Amino acid sequence: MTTDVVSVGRAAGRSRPAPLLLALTWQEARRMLRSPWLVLGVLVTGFLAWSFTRDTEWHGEQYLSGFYPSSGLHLATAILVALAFHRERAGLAPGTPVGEVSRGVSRLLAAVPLLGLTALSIAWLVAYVWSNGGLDLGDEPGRTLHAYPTAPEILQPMATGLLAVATGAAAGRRFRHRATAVLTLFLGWYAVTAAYWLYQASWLAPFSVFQSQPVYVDLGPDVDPNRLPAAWLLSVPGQYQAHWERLVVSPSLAWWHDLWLVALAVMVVALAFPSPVRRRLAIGGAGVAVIAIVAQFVVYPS
Amino acid sequence: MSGLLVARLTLRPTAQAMPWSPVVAVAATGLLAAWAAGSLSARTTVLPIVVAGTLAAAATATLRDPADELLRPLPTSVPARRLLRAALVALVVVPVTLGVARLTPGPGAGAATIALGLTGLAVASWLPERRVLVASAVPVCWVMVGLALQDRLGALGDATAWWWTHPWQVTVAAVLALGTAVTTGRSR
Repeated sequence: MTTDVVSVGRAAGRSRPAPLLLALTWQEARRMLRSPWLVLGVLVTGFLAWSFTRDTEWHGEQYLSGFYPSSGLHLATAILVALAFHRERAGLAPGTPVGEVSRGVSRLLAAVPLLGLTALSIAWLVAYVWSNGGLDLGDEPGRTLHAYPTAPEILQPMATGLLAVATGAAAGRRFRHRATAVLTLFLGWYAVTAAYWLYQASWLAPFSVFQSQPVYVDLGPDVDPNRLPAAWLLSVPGQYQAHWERLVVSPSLAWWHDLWLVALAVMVVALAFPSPVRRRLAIGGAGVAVIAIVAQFVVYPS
Repeated sequence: MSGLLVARLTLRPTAQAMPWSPVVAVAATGLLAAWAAGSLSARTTVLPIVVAGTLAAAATATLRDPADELLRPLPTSVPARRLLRAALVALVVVPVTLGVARLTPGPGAGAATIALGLTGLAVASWLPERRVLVASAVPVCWVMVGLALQDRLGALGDATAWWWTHPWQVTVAAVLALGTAVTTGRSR
């Protein structure tokens, strides 16, 4: 009797992998969508979006932190995926007729609706920016009130969402305790999102998780801002800079950075899979990551 | 001699049974983030505060003992076993808190860590035994709510940041709540 049940289960798994995968995905997605963590993530994102629309303290604040509202959903996504992958550590998992790789893929696919919510938050941001006629950026005489983020900048939170899924998968699969996974993800994501400005130096920005644009290019001492090209956006000397600086938005840098985030996500998610798949993902991700990093240094405005 | 015997009979098995990974992983992440913040900028950040809340949450999570039910007939009460765990986990939390304060600009968050850690312990003592992880969420949630609402809701907003503005009062309140729980036989 036991043999029959096992053989029927295996036969079904071999002959119809796609429906089985979809069924698992559906189950995992339902768990994720009903979790209070998701409600918390949506509330945090809503609060951050509300804060984003409030009065700003300096010109360009909104432009530089346009990705910020999505970070609540990123954290919720990472935690929900971690909780899903942590079930892989249960003793029952190896005895099931579906392999670990398939289970892992189904959990990753189940995170697609969460990425859909991130996409919605980005859509809100785009609607807000365009309905307000653009954002304030730069200081007089190089200032505009109609700055629009470029496509790769807008897509950055989506690429970061993929990284959130990957970090959740790795943390959930590899940490023994759920509390360890949740708290480490919380602190790690907080450190790279709330203090994103720490990682914007030219030698570090290509490796950062959130890369804010525009890039600040030092124009050196003794520069008369009124003699610079009228189209240039400028930043006035102040507490954090000694000279006038030019603000440069580089779409190519943003595209390569998005690719770096995707490659980093592939490398990190490799940790959640068993050995043969892990090796392939890690090697593939590392190859693309090297290309993306080198390309960012090549196109970095100077 | 008897002291050594007690230590051998209690400290070692307790230390071996405790789930160390939450506090060790959070400590490592917090120190790494603090080192990055301190070496990349001289500006003060709220990072030490967030590390304090997360570390207090991790420390509270180590109080969870799956064998609580099994050990119930023993003469050592649940609060006593938890206090022993808290003392052991403090051996990691204290140096990490000092390290974070040293690595980052600003005053650090030593008093806040003590206040938040004891709050987690007090909440755990009033919740049912299996709800330790819920209690561990309290310190970190309080920190985040405080950071978000401190300047927004008047007196209520001020209260959300008492762990930072009045850490010793919070510590005293947490100790009182803990003492009350022990004396009234909660979580026996």
